[in-house]
Amino acid sequence: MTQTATAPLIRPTVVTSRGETRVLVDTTACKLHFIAAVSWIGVGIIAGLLYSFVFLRLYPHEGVEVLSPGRIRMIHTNLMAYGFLTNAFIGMLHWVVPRLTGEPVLSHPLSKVIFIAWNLIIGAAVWGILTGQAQAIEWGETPFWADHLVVVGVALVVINFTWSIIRSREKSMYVTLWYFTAAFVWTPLVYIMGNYLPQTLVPGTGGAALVGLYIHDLVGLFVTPMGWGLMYFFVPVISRKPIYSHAISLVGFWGLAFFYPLNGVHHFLWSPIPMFAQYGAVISTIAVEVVVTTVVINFVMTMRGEWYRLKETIALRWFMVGMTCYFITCFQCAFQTTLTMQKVIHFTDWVVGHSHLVMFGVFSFWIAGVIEHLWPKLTGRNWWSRRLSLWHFWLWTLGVALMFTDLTVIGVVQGLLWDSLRPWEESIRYSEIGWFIRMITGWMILGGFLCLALNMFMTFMAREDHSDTEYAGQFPETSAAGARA
Amino acid sequence: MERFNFIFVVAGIGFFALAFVIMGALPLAQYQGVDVVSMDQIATNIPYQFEELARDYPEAFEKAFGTTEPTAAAFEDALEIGRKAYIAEACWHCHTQQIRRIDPNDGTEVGHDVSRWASDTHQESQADEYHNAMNYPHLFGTRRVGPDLIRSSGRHSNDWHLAHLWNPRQTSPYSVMPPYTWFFDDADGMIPNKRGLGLVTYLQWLGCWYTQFAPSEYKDLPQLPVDESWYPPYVPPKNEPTEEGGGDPYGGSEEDPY
Repeated sequence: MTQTATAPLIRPTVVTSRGETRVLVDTTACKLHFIAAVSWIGVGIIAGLLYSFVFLRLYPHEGVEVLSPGRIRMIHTNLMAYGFLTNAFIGMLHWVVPRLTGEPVLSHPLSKVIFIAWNLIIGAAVWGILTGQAQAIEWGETPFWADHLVVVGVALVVINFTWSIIRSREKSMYVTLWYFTAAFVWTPLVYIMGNYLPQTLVPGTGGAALVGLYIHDLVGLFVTPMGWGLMYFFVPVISRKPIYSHAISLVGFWGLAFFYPLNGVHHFLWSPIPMFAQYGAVISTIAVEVVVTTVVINFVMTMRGEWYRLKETIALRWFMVGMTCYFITCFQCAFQTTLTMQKVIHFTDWVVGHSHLVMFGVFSFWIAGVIEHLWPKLTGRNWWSRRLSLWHFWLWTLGVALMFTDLTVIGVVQGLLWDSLRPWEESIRYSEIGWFIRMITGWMILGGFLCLALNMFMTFMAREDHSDTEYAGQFPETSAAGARA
Repeated sequence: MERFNFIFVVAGIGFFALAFVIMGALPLAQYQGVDVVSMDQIATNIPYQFEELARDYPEAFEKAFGTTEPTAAAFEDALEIGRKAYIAEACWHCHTQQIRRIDPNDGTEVGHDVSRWASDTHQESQADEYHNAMNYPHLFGTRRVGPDLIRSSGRHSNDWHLAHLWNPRQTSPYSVMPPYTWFFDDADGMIPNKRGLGLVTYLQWLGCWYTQFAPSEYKDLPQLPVDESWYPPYVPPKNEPTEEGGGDPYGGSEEDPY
């Protein structure tokens, strides 16, 4: 059996700090979380595509209350954040953290409980949103009663993984773990601050400042550290080179940790929130761009001499395209956050394009890279079809590039039309072509998803290792074990 | 700097707390000592449109609020229901409630939020407009597909709002807003239910704080007799799509729609 032969490498056992002999990596939890993540992103993409029909006045089920477009939009964003990204990150953590610490997570049964509980929470939140119990906090539309469950779920995840980091007997902590450690502290704090204070204690403008922090911190203090953490792990592993500079890693991490939390209020520029907070947010947002540049330089230098690998290794392509998108996003951010540009582009589709580039073009791409890299290892089977993997890559890459360009352009058009004080309807009519193109890109992204899902499913169902030898060089562990001569 | 404890305490807790103080607590401190306006205080200034709703839809109103009188209690009830509907349908994802402090008079040529949305008061959004029990949490909004709503009070009539909720393209031919038929009890969109009445109340309340409404005797005014024959039969506009699929809803008309 292939899997038994590769088992010691994929599922090594260790003697833990408590003297027990345990399997280091819970590959089952890993696999389950990736399956859940890919299922939720499917639902989320369909929801997003459906929502794009509203703008073309082609919404398929007008008059059906539970499928009202506003609710579908909340399903789209919340499934992406909590269904897709969070599930995928937990799966990735199960693979990465024990490998870096040499210590398994607190409890493997607990991992399964977390998996079930987390996905039940998401299901409950979807039900709550569809039945009109949403909460009016952006990226936190999960019903208020579901927030309590989310906090418990997040706490369990944090305990499970932090155990592994605390009990590690490694001499030093790799940069990936700095990011994860910080994220484990930040995520619960951010969630509690954003979902509880404005809802119960702080009304209006003061609450808006906190919600601004929440919106941005969810991206900056949960998703971003997870993303950079996985980049610092997988890029050196796949390209077989150490990271270029430890010093730059330090600058990148501490710069992010200092400046990113200060960004939040830039979501409400020119609002009644006190101007000192707005100026501060603008300045620290521009500072983040400088920090991000250092991190990108670190990766570009790591890849020096290894770029040819992009041809063969699709996972690396995902990482590098995602990193490029990240640089574009942050570069764009440094300009769009200025008070001058905000006058035109705030509230337009420019912002929608920006958020798609960062949540989809960056973090979803990195996760696609992780899945591309790990799925064969987790299932013990080669990818069923390289062609499907390539289709997935190109459909998503071109889809998000087109969507971003399109939304950015019509965002400027909308902003200038509003500014010209022409009738409101004109901004709608001039946007129609852009909204049509956005719908097309939605189809492309759905197509890419179908390629991924089919490929994952067929790989999973494959009887034995695939006769395709194209991958021979790609899985050195398995060839070393002699399992796949 | 690369130790667990250092990262946990300094980056994790320390920097987060720093940002919370600078970006959250300091702005909050500006409102120290300013009392949050309660629902009861809000209900001391009831826009006349609420009385109009009670008069125009007496059965629906009584069914929804248990009274035919536009009382303060009914008004509070309606506002809360309306706000809930506004959140449940995520209206705030396409409509903002925020007039930004940008105006050509500030020295640049760009930005007309005040001119467009506050042409009467010439007043951008103020913090005290949100410092009330109806803003847990605030509804500043995030995208402006449709118009800003913070000063929507009195911009349209109740009937316009109900017709617009039933089918937005009846009143705004180029709108992309979906119809909200579940705010009505019947199949023709003539009888709003509690959510419909509440949402219209909420929309007529937004911005009404710039007007002082006298505790009016509006409801005691003699109601004019309604003669159905006054209303001309409904003729669809030329560019409205017909059931046969003809017509071009987005243009084709030579006339300027504006």
